[in-house]
Amino acid sequence: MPDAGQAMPTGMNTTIIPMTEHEPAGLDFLRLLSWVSPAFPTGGYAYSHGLEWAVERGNVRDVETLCAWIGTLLRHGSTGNDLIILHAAWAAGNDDERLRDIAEFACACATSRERYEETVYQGEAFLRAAGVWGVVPSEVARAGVRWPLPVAQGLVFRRGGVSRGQAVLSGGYAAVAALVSAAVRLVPLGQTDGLRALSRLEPVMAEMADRAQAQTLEDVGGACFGSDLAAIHHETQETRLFRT
Amino acid sequence: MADLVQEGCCRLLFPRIAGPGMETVTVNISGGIAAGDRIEGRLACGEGTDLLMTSQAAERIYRARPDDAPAEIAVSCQIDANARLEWLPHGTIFFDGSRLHRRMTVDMAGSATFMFLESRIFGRRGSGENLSRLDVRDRLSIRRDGRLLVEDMLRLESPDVSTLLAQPAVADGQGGVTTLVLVSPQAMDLLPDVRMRLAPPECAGFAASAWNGMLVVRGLAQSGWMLEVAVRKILPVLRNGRPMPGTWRS
Repeated sequence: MPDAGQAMPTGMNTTIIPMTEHEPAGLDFLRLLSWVSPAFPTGGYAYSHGLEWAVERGNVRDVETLCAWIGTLLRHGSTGNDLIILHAAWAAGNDDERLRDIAEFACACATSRERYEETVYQGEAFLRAAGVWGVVPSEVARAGVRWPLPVAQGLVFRRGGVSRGQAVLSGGYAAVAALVSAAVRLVPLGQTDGLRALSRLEPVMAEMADRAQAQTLEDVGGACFGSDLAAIHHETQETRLFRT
Repeated sequence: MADLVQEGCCRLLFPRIAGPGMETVTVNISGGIAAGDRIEGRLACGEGTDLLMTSQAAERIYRARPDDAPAEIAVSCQIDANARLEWLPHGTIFFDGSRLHRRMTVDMAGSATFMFLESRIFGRRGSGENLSRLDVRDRLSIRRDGRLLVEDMLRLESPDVSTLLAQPAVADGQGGVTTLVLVSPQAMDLLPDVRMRLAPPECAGFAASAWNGMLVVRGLAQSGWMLEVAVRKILPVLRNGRPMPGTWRS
């Protein structure tokens, strides 16, 4: 639940679901199911995070190489960084000024044009869709900055009453599930192999979600040069199914 | 030049060059960076000035003992309206066990030009160097007209660097990585030319992207020398044909 004691910035006109004592238990979990569902309209199916290039180059070709690729992104690259950013946004609570700073920071972390587009297009679509629940800052509070996906997720999860631990795990799950789903279509892999990859990546998702909760934006950084380069090469890839 | 203060192991040389701009060469008279070293630099480029900073040779980051503090390098630059700063050092060579925390912070005007180049070499393969342990955090932050534009953060902290570098998502076994960032009013227009220059097979590990008023080139290669081959192909386009820095001529 959002801390009841946290002061609302005055004049921000932020919409917050009234989390009253009378609200039945489990609403936060129900909302979370919607927000991480592949059917939630963020357009996630259209982005591969450079995986399309990695598949073309043969770097990702089966369950083994897919798990190595995604596991490395979680431990040493963009996907792990997004967990730190999501956690920071969750922790910012109702501090809209702080959220704007985190959004600007997350935008600056994008390593190429498609990485930038993928995160802000999905983040802003996520905020539009989550508006149905009334858990999104007002247009005035959002104006003037772009909203990367992990920032949008963090702030919506927090305002929707999702706990810290579940928020970070859910963001990691959504990112990994999207990559696996892209690989299933690209490699291609059978549905069962996709599920095998998801199941094998559970321990590293849990470990990195745990680590992210002890980290700050100062810890963002990585060494996934190959993955960052794959995203840039994708910009000029001749045959493309995905936007990134 | 309005003001120059230098102390400790850092020296600046000012080779005499033809042309309107100023060229400066950094020299580390200690011969390399060891654990616990602390180096700080501050640079202010006034309105309309034109400065090229390069280095005499590649910087070497030497092995630290496990309980040594990391070497710390902090450089901050302010670039005023219509000024140009080109930061074109030779690369950084990391020896096994080295520990470095480096940070460059740039605060630039929207009309200014800033070019950043950094090539990192993780073990010189030709000399049989293979790395096991590294503790490196190397961060570039650029603000343009007060707004955060770039946070490029390398974090390579591992007790088994060779295995990590072998991952295709990391370096696919290669030991050299280059980052080049150009922020200027014209930066994005250069993308097609830069891509054309990177088309030959010897530049296959390099790729360029442009967004938000900047051009970024990233590359992986087997060695520092191969990184330099690609960098030398694109610098003339990015620098509008101006001659290479004195210490780069070969």
